[in-house]
Amino acid sequence: MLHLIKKDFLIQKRNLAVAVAFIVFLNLFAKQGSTFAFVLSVLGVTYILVLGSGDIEQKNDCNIILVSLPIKRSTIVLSKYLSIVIFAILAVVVDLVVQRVIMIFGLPVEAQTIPSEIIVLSLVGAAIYCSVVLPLTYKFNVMTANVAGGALLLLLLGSSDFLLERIPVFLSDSNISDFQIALAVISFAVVIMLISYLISLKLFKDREF
Amino acid sequence: MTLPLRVHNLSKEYKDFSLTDVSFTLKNNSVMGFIGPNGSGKSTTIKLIMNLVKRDSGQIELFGLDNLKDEKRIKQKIGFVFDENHFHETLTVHEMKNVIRGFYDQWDENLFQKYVHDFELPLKKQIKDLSKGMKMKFSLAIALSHNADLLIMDEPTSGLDPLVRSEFIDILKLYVQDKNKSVFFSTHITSDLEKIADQITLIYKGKIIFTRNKDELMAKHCLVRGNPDALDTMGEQMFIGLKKDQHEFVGLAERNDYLENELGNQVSVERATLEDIAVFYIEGVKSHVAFD
Repeated sequence: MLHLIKKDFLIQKRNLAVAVAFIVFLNLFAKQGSTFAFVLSVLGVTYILVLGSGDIEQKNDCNIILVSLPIKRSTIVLSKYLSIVIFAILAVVVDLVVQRVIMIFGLPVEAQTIPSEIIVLSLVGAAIYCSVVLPLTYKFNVMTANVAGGALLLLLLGSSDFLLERIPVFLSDSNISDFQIALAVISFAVVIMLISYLISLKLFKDREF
Repeated sequence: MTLPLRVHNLSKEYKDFSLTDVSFTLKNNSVMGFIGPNGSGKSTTIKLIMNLVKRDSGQIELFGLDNLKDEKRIKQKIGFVFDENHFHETLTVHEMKNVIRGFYDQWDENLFQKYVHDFELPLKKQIKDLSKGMKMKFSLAIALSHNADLLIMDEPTSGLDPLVRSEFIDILKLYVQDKNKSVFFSTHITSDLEKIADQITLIYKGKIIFTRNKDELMAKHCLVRGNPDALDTMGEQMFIGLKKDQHEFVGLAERNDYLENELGNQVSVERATLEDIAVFYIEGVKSHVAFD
């Protein structure tokens, strides 16, 4: 499985560079503030890298190579979902580093310490976002998935102000502890990922090459 | 010793093509050439063996194991070469090798480096910049570097020049010197098979026409040419396949005393190449001429 994830890094060196540039750009120029830039960059970078590897493989029909290797199809699909987590964590780390650099060098851009709940929410958001779109790459192709992903992103962006205002108010008004909220949110993401994985697995197992 | 490959009553239906009751057996330490015209079902059969497509019915056993139930275990022992390049084009030869080697328990890096040296593979070059011949050699190096007991190849020499094809045949000859190794490969370049194959399986329109020992096949058959009058004397039923016009007939027949002694100057009897045998067997199927 680790070889499959390593492969996903190797085949998209260009996408990795674009991802870093995207994070830097958002942090320097996003007018909505550093929290918004952080959330969007984690979401966007995870999506670019997860679907980016799938796009490259579809163009070369590389899944034929993978399916002919001594590896189960379930492992191939599982590695994609594991890569969501890895790419999301990578995006968080790079983003935090960029924000730290901005603070250290005193650049005239808003930068602040990102609260842990925002980090968790970003990871969860990226996981759910990619999990919703990934089965479409197995059913149709990456291009179709990108259209759906784009529509979903527009919806999220359109409601971002509402969500970033209302969710903290709701959470502070409720009697639920931060730990319970985090647990509920993470559990929800895990359930979504599991359902998505099972759908993707069924589709990939039935696929003929 | 278990057979490296056994296919029994394999069937697969598509909208406009079907594979029907395909059966053949690859013997130990032998090279089987799988031949047939374009669209006859060669690639489909190989994809079914490799579980790239799902069979509708039938059995496929490799090393005595079912190709579905024991897929992962079987694929450790198989080296597979595709007809087209499906490697990640942006990776270098070295990077792609490192991606694949991790999946094989018996990967032999020294062996791979030996093939790199013998094939003059440029390790730092991106796969998209390799020539067709180099890509095939890279595929072969990968297939040979994890101690596979069976090589399965789908038209590996298609589009390659005669020099590269000759090198490929030499590599296969060396490979099967090990008593535990076998090769199954599809091709429509029958001249390559005359040099290396032990067995020949002919497929046409999704059905197996024959599986035979190559030397026996070639020794047993001959090409007969003559004028139409001689054909009237002989009768068409003695031919496996026949082509005729108003001036001449050419047909494939089994060697027999009648042909070679009694007909004398009426016909010419020639050695049949593997290509002749395949063409005329198919001709016989098309025109429903009876044969064994």
